[in-house]
Amino acid sequence: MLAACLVSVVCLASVDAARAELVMAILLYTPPILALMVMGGVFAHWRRASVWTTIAQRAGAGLADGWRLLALAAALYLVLLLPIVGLALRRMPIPSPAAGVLHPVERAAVFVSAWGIISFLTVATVAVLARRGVAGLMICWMAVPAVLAFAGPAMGLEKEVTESLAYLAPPFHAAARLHDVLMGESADLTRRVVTHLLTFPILCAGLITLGLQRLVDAPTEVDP
Amino acid sequence: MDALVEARGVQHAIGTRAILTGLALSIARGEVVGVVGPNGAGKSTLGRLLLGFLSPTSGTITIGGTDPMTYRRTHGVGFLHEDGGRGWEHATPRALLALHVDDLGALTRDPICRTLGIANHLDRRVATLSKGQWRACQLAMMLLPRTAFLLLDEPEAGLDPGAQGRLHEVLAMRAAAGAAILVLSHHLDSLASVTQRIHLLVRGGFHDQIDPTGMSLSALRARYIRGVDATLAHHVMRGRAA
Repeated sequence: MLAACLVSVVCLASVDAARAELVMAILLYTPPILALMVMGGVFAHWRRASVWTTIAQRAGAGLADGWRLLALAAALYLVLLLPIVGLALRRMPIPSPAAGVLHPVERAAVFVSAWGIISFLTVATVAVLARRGVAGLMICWMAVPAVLAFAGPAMGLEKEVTESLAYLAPPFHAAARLHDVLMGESADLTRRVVTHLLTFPILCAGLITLGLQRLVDAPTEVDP
Repeated sequence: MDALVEARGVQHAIGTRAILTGLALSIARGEVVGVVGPNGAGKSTLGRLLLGFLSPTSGTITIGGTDPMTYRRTHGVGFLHEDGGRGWEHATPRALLALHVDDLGALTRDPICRTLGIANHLDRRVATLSKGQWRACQLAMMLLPRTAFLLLDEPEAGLDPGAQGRLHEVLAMRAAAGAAILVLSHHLDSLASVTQRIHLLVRGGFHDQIDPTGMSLSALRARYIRGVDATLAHHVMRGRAA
């Protein structure tokens, strides 16, 4: 589990290495991924059949209970994530005043905020839908854009198809470019970044709703 | 009598493996029915079908005139299941009861709670409760909402004889109030104490119906063994003939 976490941190950091220092990228990717691993465990715990069996026998039990549990998980996630993010920001190399002190910190704050939301949606979706291997599935889902970038041309997929498929993956790259878009520095990327960041929560909400309904309807299958 | 639960020709299969083969069952309000059978006979599958957690491959099940899932969603059911504490280790029984009961203040005065003796455990974490104490809390969770249909899967697991007596007492209270109760169990003595009739489930089918009234435990056990052996022998003969 930890090895998979470290590999994914280094892989994701490497993708961004052209834009920032590798160490800086690792610092930025590590906190959310560690938080994801912990949250995956918390969700797996709550996903146990006995929990849902207890909920499902009540009249009127349904999606609202599931969303309430997720809201509680979101609160725990924030409590967990904020100190780690704070620690990471404190340990960031501080540029000289001449280079502008606030800029990298602002950039990191925008990126990490977007990262936090996306990672929460990712882990919640996978944990609600999958019975086992939440962390592994989550990392696979996160790696879809990278896989498509390498495998797409090799498989003869057209660029439009590859880009469309990438919208199904968590928009971590869009999050990385969000600051540039907000500053008006990447006009050509604006539409893609904004579309991806807006459509992903809708995709996750749909999938989570399906997963929660299934948990309430048939909670006595084998415990994960 | 007014049947709350009706099952007719219920079959269930997982892939090509038949789990239940044409069951018929009827439970009236105020009636306590037992199902006994060897491991793998299909008791838990029957329970899941009656709760609407699974759908039968063929046949019909109705509870209060509707399908089990609709009934569960609209009226709620009481379900005592094995291993129910997993996932709730850090919760307290009071917090879990709040999922099922509106007036927590009246809990300690409730006759079911008093009979089960859970008042002293309400604010302890589930992980710190003994198996019997947790079972008593589970029983309170299933009984306090006063649902009309109750299903208990191996309710005696982890209970000492005193607690088993209290279990029978609270089930009798709910039956007297008009609940239809199904108990799935291996414990013939317990079933004989609390049920009006016992169905023998072997290899997915009911093969005997026993009225335990006035029967000694040894007579009941002999009839169970005879029923199971005869059914298994019949299956072996059929297998050889095929």
